[in-house]
Amino acid sequence: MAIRQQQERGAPVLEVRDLTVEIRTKRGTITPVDRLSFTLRGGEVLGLVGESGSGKSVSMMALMGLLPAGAARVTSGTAFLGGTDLLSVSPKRLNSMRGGVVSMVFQDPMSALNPVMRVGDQVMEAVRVHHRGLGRKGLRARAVELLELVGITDAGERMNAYPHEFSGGMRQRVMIAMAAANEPAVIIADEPTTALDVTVQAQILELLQDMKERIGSAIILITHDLGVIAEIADRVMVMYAGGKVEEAAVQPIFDAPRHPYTASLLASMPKLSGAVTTMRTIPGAPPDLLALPQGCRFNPRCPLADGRTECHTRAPELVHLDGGQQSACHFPAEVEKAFSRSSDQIEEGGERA
Amino acid sequence: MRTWSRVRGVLRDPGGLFGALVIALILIAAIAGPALAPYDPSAQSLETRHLPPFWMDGGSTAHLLGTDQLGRDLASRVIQGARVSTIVGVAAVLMQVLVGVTLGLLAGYWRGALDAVIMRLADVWLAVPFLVLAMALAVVLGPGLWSTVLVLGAVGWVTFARIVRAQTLSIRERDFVLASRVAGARPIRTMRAEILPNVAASVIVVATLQVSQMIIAEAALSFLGLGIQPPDVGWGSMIAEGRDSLSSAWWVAAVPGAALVIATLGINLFGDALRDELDPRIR
Amino acid sequence: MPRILEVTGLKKHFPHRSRNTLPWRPRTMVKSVDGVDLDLEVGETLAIVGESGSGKTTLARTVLKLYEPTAGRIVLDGADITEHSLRRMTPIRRNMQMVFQDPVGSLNPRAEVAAIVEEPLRVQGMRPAERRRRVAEMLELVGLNPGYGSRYPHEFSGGQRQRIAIARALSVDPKLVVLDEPVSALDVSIQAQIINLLVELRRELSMSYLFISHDLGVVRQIADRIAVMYLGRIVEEGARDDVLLAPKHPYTQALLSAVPIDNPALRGVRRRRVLAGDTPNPANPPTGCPFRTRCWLATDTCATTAPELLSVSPTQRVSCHVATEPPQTR
Repeated sequence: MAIRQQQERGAPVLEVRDLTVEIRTKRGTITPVDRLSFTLRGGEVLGLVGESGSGKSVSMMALMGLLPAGAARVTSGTAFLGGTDLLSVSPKRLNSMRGGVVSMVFQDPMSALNPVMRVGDQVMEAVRVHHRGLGRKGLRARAVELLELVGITDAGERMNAYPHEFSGGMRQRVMIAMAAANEPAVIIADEPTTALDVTVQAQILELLQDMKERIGSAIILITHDLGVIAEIADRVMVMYAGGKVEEAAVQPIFDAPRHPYTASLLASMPKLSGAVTTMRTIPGAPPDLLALPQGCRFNPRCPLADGRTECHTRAPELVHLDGGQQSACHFPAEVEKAFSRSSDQIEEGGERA
Repeated sequence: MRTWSRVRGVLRDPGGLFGALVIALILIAAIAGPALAPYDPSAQSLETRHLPPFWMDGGSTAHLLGTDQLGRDLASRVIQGARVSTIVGVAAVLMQVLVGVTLGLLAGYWRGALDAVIMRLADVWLAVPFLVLAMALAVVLGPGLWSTVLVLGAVGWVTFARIVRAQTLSIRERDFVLASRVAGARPIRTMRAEILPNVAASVIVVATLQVSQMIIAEAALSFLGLGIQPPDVGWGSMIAEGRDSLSSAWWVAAVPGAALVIATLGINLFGDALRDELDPRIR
Repeated sequence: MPRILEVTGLKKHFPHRSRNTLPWRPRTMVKSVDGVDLDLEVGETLAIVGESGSGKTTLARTVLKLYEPTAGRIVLDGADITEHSLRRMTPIRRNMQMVFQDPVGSLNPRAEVAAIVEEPLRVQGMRPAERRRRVAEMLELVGLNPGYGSRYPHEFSGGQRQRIAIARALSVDPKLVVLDEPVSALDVSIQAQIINLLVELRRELSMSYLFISHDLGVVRQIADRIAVMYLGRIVEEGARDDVLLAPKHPYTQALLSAVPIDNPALRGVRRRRVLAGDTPNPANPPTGCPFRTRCWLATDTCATTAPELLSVSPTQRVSCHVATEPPQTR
């Protein structure tokens, strides 16, 4: 098995520029992803955070060429992965790249696995697609190896089981084994632990981290859970209503967010430490993509936007701040003052467990 | 609001529009038939026997669709037949819906023994030869409009029971059904207020399609002489009357036959459009 | 304080469906709830915490008598309702209501909002004019425009739908509300709104909550006491801070340590107890202590004898052979 040469840490692996997706609905055309640009670097976990309707899943589906045919289409942008533009390459070529250089782990492993096919056959199939030359014996050996790698004991025996005989956590391990089968340069994990119990989530996050080290893939982790981000991400991208509102290394996101939406999300997370007080909330709900507010899309829910014409008339551009942090806010310097977090969290958190 | 947008949705579909027009025509014929018909449908006239439709040699615009072996005006008789078809189709389906939906709801909601009994009954029911049943009823009740309705109504309930049971089984697991129990509602209320509105769309769609089936079935029964009896006029009995003169005067059978085909086609197209609009899940 | 709810020895077993079982073989039972004692004081919130397979939802539904209990006793507001027939339960339902997890599935898609909210009132026999007034009042109470009554559920966002469900539950002025994961289907930014609303309403209307959740962060915001369930049993129960800050049962400790913390600086610093494997199948639970197959402290005793829920302090009870031996030297 030729192990893909390890991506150089920090070198760009995937470069997405101005990705725009449009979807025709009964009531009109919406733009769930609007001029999204980002760079994924070798060996990193890029966290992609957002609520429902933020465009986080749609943008990844667009990269994978998995948007529902007919209704949704990519209207602009490029996405270069090792010299190939995922957005303009032929469907046939993209198909051969999926599961090869780029693969995916889904939220619900039960529906992502074929219920009437043995687990082993499914893993072997994932390997076979990109290793046509391998015989059945070789495929089987590789599949067993992969299942052992993701921590499935008695892998040889478990090959013959059906998905329903596995627990949720085990199924997600199988999905990860399949995603890692061909040592992809990029793994896109879409809410991989959302359907799992918290004790199992901890196992799966550890496994993802471990797999990343072993095969040197870069990971895009989509989640709505900032706790998961804090556990595993190196860099974070926050999306709101189709656009990126903030990007930074993981520590600054939690210590000094520069977009009021990020700060609001952090403030409204239920915490296990600190005083129990009335929770800080974000008023209202994410906007209807058919009726986006004028100016900044976050302005109806933003504490900084009150009475400021700028926020209500001009959409903020993404600005680069110190330390590589990016924010799409007219007043990034004021975020910290508006959302002062309690400072005693580190000590208290450290005490626990 | 919602109803109107649905109606518009159906009419935007070409098949749905055609179907709606056909149904409108049938209904007008059924309701205002005597006023519309150019002649008394049973008025005989021996001078004008077997007149062909107006576009053929020997045809006359006085009898647009020609006349039968007794000189009766076919156009008037087809219009008269629409009334029978409507009554039989609608009444038989209503009967099926009443029985089928009730049994389907009960079976799906209570499951267990009641479900088993009802569904086995349905299986047995399907094994009863429908023609034999029709003959038996015709003998017992005497053939005629209402015994035809009874026969057809008795046969088709199984379709509705099966559909409603299957949907009830899945709907009863939804939280809003549990919520109704939390509210303190008795089972009958839960079935009526929570489950029934959610199966209604499928029932309406299937009922529409079933009406056309019943119109054909009525025609078949009448053709065999087990259905509509004179002086009532049905399309099936008209076809039967035209059978003897098929070689010389084919239109006597073809005219009611065409009415039957257009009517069922229109209703089916309407039903399909309605299904797309109301309930894309089934079939 | 008077008690609104007392549950003793509650069990709910379901016949296990297996395709391979022949009809004449004895059917195995899934012991979803297997001997639960709990009580709830007036105005108090008790959180039931557990993962999938813990039986927390079954417990909630059995307490509400949506499932017939297999054994045990349920006393609501001083009255034993365990044996109550369907008919006798109807008036009782006025005092015990429920809010479900999924705000889409719990509202009838074919009913107008007003009809949804007034359903309990109608069943409880309130007159139409009064009902209309009450519906408007309830919608306002949960922060919705009272004019929304003629709309359908699909016209609302997830958070708004959950408000509608809360309005329905509270319309009959219940004393006890069972909330089954009421915020876990909602976006983070909406969760906090609903939690605040629930806390506020409980205070205003002096109700008691039985709050089912898997999310310890959420539970911390709302609960006075916490009971932790594992495989159909309560393994630890106590005042909120006792359970969260000084957990005694190994499972509670593992559960707490598995919760991600929103501080990347603590990666690696924090001691974490990652449990091996998954919760065992409730159809075939381990002998003795249900947690022993995943427990790092398990001894021979744990395999043979099921531990009882014993008091370790006036406000905390634990069901573990090892935890009751102080002090722990790990």
